[in-house]
Amino acid sequence: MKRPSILRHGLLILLAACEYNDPYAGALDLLPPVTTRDGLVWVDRGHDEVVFVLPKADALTVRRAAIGDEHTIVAWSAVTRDGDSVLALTVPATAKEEDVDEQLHRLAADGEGEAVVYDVHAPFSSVALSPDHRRAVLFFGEDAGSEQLHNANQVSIVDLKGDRAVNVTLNGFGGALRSVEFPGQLVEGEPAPIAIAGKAHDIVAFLAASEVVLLDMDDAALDQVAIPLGMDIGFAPTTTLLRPGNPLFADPVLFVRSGQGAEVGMLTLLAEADGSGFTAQISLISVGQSGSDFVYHDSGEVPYLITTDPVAGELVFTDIRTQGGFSVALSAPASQLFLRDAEDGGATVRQVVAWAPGGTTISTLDLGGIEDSLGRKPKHLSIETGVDALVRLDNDRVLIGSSSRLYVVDFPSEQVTPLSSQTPYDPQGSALVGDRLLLGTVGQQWVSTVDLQTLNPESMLLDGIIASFHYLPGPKRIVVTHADAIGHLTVVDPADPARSTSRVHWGFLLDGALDR
Amino acid sequence: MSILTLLTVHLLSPPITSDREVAPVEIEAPAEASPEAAPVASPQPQEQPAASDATLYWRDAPAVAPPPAPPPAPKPQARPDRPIRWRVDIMGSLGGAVFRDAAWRAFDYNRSVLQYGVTVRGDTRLGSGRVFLGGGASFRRFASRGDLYDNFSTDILAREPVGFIRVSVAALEGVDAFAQAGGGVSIVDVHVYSSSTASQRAFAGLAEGLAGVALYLPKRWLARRGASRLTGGLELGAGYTWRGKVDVRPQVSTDDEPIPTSSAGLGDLALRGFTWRLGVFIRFQ
Repeated sequence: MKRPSILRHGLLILLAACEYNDPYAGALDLLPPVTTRDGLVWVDRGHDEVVFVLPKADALTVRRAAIGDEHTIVAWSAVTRDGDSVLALTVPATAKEEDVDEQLHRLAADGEGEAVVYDVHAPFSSVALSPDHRRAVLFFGEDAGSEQLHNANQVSIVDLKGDRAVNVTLNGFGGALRSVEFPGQLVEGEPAPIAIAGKAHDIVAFLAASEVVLLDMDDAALDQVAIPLGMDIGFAPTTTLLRPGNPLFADPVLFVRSGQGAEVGMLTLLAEADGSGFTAQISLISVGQSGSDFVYHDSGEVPYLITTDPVAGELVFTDIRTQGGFSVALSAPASQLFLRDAEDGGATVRQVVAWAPGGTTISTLDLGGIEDSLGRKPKHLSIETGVDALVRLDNDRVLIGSSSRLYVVDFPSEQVTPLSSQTPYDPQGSALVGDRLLLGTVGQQWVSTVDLQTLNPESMLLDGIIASFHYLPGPKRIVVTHADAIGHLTVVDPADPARSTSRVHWGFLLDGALDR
Repeated sequence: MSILTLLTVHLLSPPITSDREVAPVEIEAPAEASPEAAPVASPQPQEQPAASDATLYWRDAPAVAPPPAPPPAPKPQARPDRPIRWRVDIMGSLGGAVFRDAAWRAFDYNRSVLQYGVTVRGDTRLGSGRVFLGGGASFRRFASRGDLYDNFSTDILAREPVGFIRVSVAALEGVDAFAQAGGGVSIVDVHVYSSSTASQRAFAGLAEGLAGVALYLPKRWLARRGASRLTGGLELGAGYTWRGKVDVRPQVSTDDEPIPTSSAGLGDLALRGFTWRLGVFIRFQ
């Protein structure tokens, strides 16, 4: 009676030995790399893996972590703002997969340790990361994905310091959610709750079509404040700006700018009468023919909202208490604003800088005593070939990309220094590290650095065309990738960009492939 | 195939003349009687065959001189049997190997690979028994192509000089059972193709053991029988080949004066496993 058993086991062993199990089947399906503090991270959707590539000196460390399984696929990946974690959302691999939950995975950026997994229950297509590094908000953005039916106002608030995710449906007025902002958090890495009647609230703003929903993420009950802003006037919220309360205007105000129209929404945040939460008092401020950007400024005894009117070419100053104001003609197109400190006769005053993409002029206007200086004229700096992109280097300088030129504008000396370049400036292909500007335009074969103190540029020829440009603040290295699915990158020392000090690494996405 | 054909023709045709042998010659009767044509050795008187009736009839005919008796055919020189004391084989072989290491699948779509080679070997009889002891050398190669993740192409070529010792037992003439053990080096060339090409030559130690049977034409089947010095046959062997691990780290090709470049290690490749071969050999003995 033993023989059939032996025969059967022998056949099973033989079948197992002959089994066609190809460990190298299936193509690599890589999402674009994301940049962490110490390296680059690729998600291989074809093999349910996250690949961490960590350059160190002349070596490259490659680590892998499994994510999901054959029933799921990674929809997107992102890096937290502190660069310490990688987020990846897994969704059902096909519509035929049932009983598969959508999950957000948080993996350490060094590829070690276990991933934290959050059940988020929906295939969200977008993520907003709070500047204080504590939370992520998942939502359906403009691209709602391929879901047959989804709740456009469903969001998930994820605690990045813990393992909890809370799903919420916004109680709005029918407008679909478009973007998420954290208006109170202006300093990177620091919690900045908004004080309303002395009580702190960590407020997130959900901008939907014609309405805004505010929610205190620290509130266990997650009570929501929904504010309609005028569907009848076509108010479409695009950006928020928080003005904390101060003696000039005690209550914090959330300004909401519309993508169209001549009004700015002013939401004055007030405590609920019963002390259980907060509410908002709504008013619309007329800011000329349109308002394309805004800042706030207290001058003397007046709390101003400053907006730029690109149609009229002027700055509009509005007293937020009375909603009265005045305008200053710029005599040049301007649609963007920022504030800086300027020296004026030994005193420091605030200065507003106005510019417009495509424009040839940067305008500055000192705000010291602006309430008493009617008729004040702005100053102008000319950018000969037009402004394509503007990057603030520090309080005194900006970098301007203009066609195949770079300009460094020094406001105190009112100097504009041009740097000729072979290629147009690409903000995605640059990084600012201290006083050194690093450039690596996609499609080109050069990495350049510019010492912004001496304005001395240096360039280095690479051995391949740049596919993407990254700066790693941990090892302080530039990493440019080249178009080769097997993994091909060059590591450059930004302090000494030279071929002899650089290093090319090839094939790292197959590192250890034969041992798996 | 041509070698096989030549071998078959050679083995089944009459033996060729050599310096030590006299080829048999077919003798025809001479046209005229000639005492000088007779061999030096005087022929033995030949008994006349019995006359038929016709013969009797011709007795009355005018007498004619009887034709001289044909000279006897020279007796072939005797070729002594040659006992088999040593053997030298030249063999061409075709075979296969089955690799258990999953890494091999990066270079082939299945686990087995075809390999072929050539072997020269010799052995000698131990005493007067049935056992032969000897050795030899062989050279073989195998090659394959594959895909890695459907994104990249690969190929591999291995060339292997091998030395071995061999023990054969002639169970009966024409059938040998053998076992052999050997070692050598595997010279492995690897290429990986993506947008770039990377290549590597690696060296790995090799050890193997084979056993099998060799079938060849025994002397008694050959035209010269015991004096034959040449035979041939088939050999079927199987065993296990161990090769040292190859650290697969192909170096990407670069232009002149490149930036210092490092290539990733793809991992270890262990080309070990069952092997077999079928050979055709000719044997000098």
